[in-house]
Amino acid sequence: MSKLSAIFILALCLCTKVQSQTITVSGSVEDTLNKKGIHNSVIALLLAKDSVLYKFTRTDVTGRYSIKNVKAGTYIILTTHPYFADVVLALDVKETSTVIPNIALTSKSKLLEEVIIKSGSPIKIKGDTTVYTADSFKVRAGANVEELLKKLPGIQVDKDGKITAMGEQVKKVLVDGEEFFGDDPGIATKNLRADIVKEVEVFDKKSDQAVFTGIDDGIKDKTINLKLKDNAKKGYFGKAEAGTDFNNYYNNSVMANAFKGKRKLAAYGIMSNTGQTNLDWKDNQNYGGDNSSMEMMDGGGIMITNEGDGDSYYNGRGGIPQNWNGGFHYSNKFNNGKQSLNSGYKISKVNSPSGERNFTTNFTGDSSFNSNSVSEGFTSKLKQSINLTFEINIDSSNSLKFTSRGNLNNTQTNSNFSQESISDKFLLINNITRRSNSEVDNSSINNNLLWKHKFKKPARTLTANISYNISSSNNESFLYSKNDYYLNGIPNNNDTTDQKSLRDNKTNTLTGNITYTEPLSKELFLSFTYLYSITSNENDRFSYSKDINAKYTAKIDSLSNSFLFRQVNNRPGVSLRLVKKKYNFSIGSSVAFSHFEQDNRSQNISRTYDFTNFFPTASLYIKLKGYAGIRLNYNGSTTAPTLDQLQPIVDNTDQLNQYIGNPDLNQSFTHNVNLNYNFYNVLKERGLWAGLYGNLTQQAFVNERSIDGFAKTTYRTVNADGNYYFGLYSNYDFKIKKPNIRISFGPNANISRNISFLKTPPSTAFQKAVNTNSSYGLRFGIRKEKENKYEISINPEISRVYAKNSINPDASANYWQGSINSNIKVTLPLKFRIESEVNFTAKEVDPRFPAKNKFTIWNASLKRNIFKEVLEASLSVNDILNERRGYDRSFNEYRYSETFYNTLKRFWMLTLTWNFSKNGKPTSGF
Amino acid sequence: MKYLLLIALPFSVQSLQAQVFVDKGLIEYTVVVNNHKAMGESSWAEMFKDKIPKLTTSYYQLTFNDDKSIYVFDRKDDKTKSPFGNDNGEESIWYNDYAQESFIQQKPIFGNTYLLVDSLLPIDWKMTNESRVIAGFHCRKAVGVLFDSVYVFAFYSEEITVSGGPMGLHGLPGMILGITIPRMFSSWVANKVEINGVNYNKITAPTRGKKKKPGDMEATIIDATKDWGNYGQQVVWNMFL
Repeated sequence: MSKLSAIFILALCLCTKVQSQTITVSGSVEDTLNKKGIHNSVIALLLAKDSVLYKFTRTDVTGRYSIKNVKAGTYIILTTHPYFADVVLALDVKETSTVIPNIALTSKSKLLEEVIIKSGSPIKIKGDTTVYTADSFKVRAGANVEELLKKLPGIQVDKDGKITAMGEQVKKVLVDGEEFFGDDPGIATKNLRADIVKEVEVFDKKSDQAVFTGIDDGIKDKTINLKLKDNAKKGYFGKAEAGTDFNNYYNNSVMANAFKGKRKLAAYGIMSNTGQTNLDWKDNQNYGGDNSSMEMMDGGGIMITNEGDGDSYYNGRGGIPQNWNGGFHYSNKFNNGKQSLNSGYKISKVNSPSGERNFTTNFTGDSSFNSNSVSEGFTSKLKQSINLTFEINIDSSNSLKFTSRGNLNNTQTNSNFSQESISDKFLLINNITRRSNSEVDNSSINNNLLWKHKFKKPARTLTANISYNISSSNNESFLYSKNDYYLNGIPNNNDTTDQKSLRDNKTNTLTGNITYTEPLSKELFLSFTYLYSITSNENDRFSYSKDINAKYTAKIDSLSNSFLFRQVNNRPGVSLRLVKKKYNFSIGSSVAFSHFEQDNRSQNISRTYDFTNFFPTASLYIKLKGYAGIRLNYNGSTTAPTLDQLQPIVDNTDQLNQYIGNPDLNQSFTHNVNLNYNFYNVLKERGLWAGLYGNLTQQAFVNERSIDGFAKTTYRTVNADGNYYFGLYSNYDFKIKKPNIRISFGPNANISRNISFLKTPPSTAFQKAVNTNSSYGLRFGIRKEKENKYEISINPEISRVYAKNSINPDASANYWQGSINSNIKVTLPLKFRIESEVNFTAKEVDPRFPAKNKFTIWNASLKRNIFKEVLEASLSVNDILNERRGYDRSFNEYRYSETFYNTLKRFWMLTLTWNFSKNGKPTSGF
Repeated sequence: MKYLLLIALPFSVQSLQAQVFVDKGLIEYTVVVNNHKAMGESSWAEMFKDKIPKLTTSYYQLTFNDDKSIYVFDRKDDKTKSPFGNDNGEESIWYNDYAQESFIQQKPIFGNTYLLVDSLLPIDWKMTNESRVIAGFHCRKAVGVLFDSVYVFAFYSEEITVSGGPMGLHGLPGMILGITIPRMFSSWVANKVEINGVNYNKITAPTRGKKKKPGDMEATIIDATKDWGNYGQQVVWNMFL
C-alpha cells in the first residue's frame, strides 16, 4: 500500500493569506474521476519531524474542511479515505492562514488496475515461514546479526541497515517472538551477536506471529524472527561463606547454581557447628532443588506444598550439633516444556552430643515424691535421599506426573541415664541406672503416578493417582539397666536387665485414588472420589540375654514376638460445590471402611478389627464489599485406634514407664470448626485478620495411668468424652502515613480441656482428672523503616495463663508471661551495617520452680561489603549476654517438672561471604 | 495485492459512498492476555506456567453513538480462566464523551468502587503506512505512547467516524478496532461491528462509587503498589487505561 500511495504523492503549490495570531488550514478534496467533492475524507496534520498526529478533521458533504488553531511549523498533510489512495503533502505553516487549493483523490480500484497492468509483476506467494539455520552461514567471529542476514539468500541489507526479504522491506525484527526495544528493526540486528542466533525465520502471516507472542497484533508485514540458541541464556550464580571464631566454632558453606536455558544444575555443601543444619528456605529454592510443588484447586485457588526434610532447623534441643551437608540438583525441560525432569541427591551427617537434667515432683494421693534424673548421650545420624519427578503434558487434556523418592538413614545412639526417686519423708524409693546403645537403619522408597484428564466439556475432569511405598527399618540395640526398689527406705527388691534386641520392620502400602468431577451447571459441580489402600506391616522383635559364654544368644520369649499387620481401606466419597460470584459453598462426605488384621505369629493368635469411619466436610465463603470475606469451615473425622493402642508390642527399655494395650478401644470422632474474617484496604494499607477455631472430640483417646509404690508407671489408652480446644486469633495492622510507622496489635485467647485417668497408691480406683488450661494475651508490634537507612521493629507480647487440675490443686497455676522481641538494622557511615536482635522473655516467679525465669538473648552483627557487592565481611556475636538456658517447665495432673539441657550459648564469629554470578542472580520468591 | 482486490472490488465506490460511514453502533472486542508472559521468568512463575492457560480470553462491548460511548465487559471464556487474572475490568464501566474530551469511569480499585472523572488521556499517535482489515473494516495503524513509555499499537478505521476505542483510548481519525500493548501482554481486537438493533439508551454515565480525580488516586496507588514489582506496575496501568 505504501508503494501505491507513494506514487501519488503530489506536490501542490499553496496559496497563503496573512492573518493575525491563529492560523487556520483549510481546503477541499475531490475525486479525480468525477471532479466532485468527497465527503468524510480524513485530513490529518502530522508533525514533519516524527509523523506524530497533530490535528485532524473530516471533509463535509461538499468535500471542504478547515483545521483551526494550528501552530506555525512544518507538517505533513495526510489525506485518506477508505476507497481512495492516500495523498501525502509537505506543508509549511507560517504565521498565516493556509489554504490548500484542491486535493484530488484517485479511486483504489482504478489504481489497482493500472498498477497491475503497468508492473505486470506476479502476485507474491504468501504463507509459509522461511527458516534459515544460522550456523549454516559462516560469519566472522563477533559478527552481529546484520552481518548474518547479509549472507542469507533472499535477504538484503542496504548501507543504512534497511532489510529487505523476498523483495519486501522488513518492518519488524523479533527476538524469540518478542519485540526488541521498539519498532526499529536495526536495533536488534546491530546489537545482537550472530553466534547466539539459532534460526532466522521470515514470515508474513499474521497467525505465525500470533503463535509466537500469543497476542494478535495484526502484523502482516514481512517479519524476521531471531530464535536464540538456548545456551544464550547461560550463566551461574552462587556464594561461598566461611565463618570462624578461630577456636571452637565454624560455619562454612558453598552453593552454586549453573543454568543453561531451562537446564538447572545446582550443588551445595555445608559444614557447621552453630546450628545451621540445613539450607534455609531461600537457599533451598536456589540451590537445593526446591521441593515445593503447586496445584491449581477446583475453586480457582492455588495450593503450594513444600516437602520439608523435617529437621532443617535447629531447635536448641538435643545438644550442640555438628553437621556436614551436601546436595546436588538437576532439572530440565524438554520439547517446549512438554516434559520436565527434576532430580536431586542429598546427604547429611549430624553428630549431636546431648545432656539433660530433670527434676520432677510426683503426686500420689495425699503424699508426693521427687524424681531426679541425669542423662547424657551421643547421636550420630547419616541421612541420604534421592528424588526424581518427571512430568509429561501429553496433550492439552492429558498429563502424567511420576514422582519417586528414596531415603537411606543410619542412626547411632548411645546414652547413659540415671534416676533416683525420694519420698516426701526423704526416703529412697527407687534408684535406676541405664546404659543403652543402638543402631538403626531405615530405608524407604515412595513411588507415585498421577494422571489428569480434562474432558472436552469445561470443568469435567478425571484424576487418578496410584502410589506404592516400601519402607523398612532394622534396629539393633543393647540395654543394660539396674533397678533397685525400696520400701520405707529399705531395699525391697531389684532387677537387672542385660539384653540385646533386634527389631525388623517392613511396611508395604499400595494406594489407588480416583476423582471424577462433573459440572452440573456453570456454578454447580459434583465430585466423586474413591480411595483404596492396602498396607501390610511385618514387625519382628527378638530379645536375647547373655548365655554362659557371655554372648547374647538366649532368647527371651516374653520379649520376643513376630507380628503381621494388614490393613485394607475402601473409602468412597461425594461432594457438591457451588461457586457464585459473592459466595462459595461446598458440602460432602466420605466413608472409610477399614479392616485390620493382627497376626501374632510367635503365639499363633490372630485378631481382626473392623471400623467404619465418617468424614463429613462443609465450607462457606462469603465475599464482602472491599477486600473482605468471611469463611466458615467444618470437618468431622473418625479416627480408628492404631494397632499399637489395641495390642502393643512389649518393649521394656524404660522399665518405669510401660505401655499396655486396650483391645476394647472405640473410634473417636472429632469435630473441627473454624471461622475467619479478614479485610484489607490496599490504599490505606490497613487490615484485620481474625479467626475463631475449635475442636471437640467425642470418645477421645486419653491416657489411663497407674503408678505403684515404687514409682513405676503403667499406662494405656482409653476413650473419654469432653476433650475440646477453642482459640481466638486476631491481628489489626495499620500504617500511620506521615511518620511512615506500621502498627499491629491483636488479642488472642485459647482454652483447652483434657481428660485423663489416674490411679495412685493408696487408692485402688481410677480417678478422672480434668485439666483446664486457658490463656489470654495481647500482641503488639511497631515497625518503621527507611529504605537503605534503617529498619526497626519492636514486638511486645503479654499473656495471662490459668491452669487448673480437678484432682490435684498442686498442678494448678495462674501466672503472667511476656516477651519483647526487637530487631534493628542500621546502615552506618562508610557502608557499615549493623543488625541487632534482642529477645526478652519472662515468666511470673513460681515458688515451685526455683530456676531463673527471665532471659535476654541478644544477637548482633556488624557487616560491610568489600569490592562492591561481591564480598561481604561480617562480625557477629550470638547471645552477647550469655543468658541462653536450655530450660523447660511443665506440670500436669500428677506431677510438675523442670528440665535443663545443653544448648548453644555465647560465641562470636567472623564470616566472609563471596557472592559470584554471571548472567544470573538468585531469586527471592516472586 | 490480492488483498486490495478483495476490499476494493465488492464496492461500487460511487454508489455506496454515502452509506459506508458509520457513526453509531456496537463493537465487540476479543481481549486476550498472555498469562505466561505476564508472570515473568522467576522460578515460581516457571512452576505455575504449566498449570495455567497461556492465554485468557474475554469479550468487551463498546456501544457508541456520535460522540459518546460506553465500554463494558460482556463475557469470558471460562476454559481460559487464570487465578492470576485481573478481573477488575469485569466490574468497570467506561463512559467517554469525545466531543468534550472527558470521561467518567466506574471502577473497582482494591475492592472499593470509585467514580473517576477527568479529561481523556492525551496520546501522541505516530502515523504509519501499515494497514489491515479488522471485522470487515479497513484499518490503518498508528503507534502511541502511554504513561511516558508504554507502546500502544492501534488499528483504527476511518469508516467509523467516531474517534474512540476500547476503554479510554481515543484521538485517531476513526474508531480503534484493534490494540496491542506488548508491555501489558494484552490485545484488544474487534470481532464484529453491529449497526442494527443496538440499544443506545445504554450510553449513560455511571453514577455509583466515590467520586475521584484519577490524578489524586494515582500517587496513593503507586505508593501502595511500589513493592509489588512488575505486577504492581501492571496493576497501575490497568487502573488508568
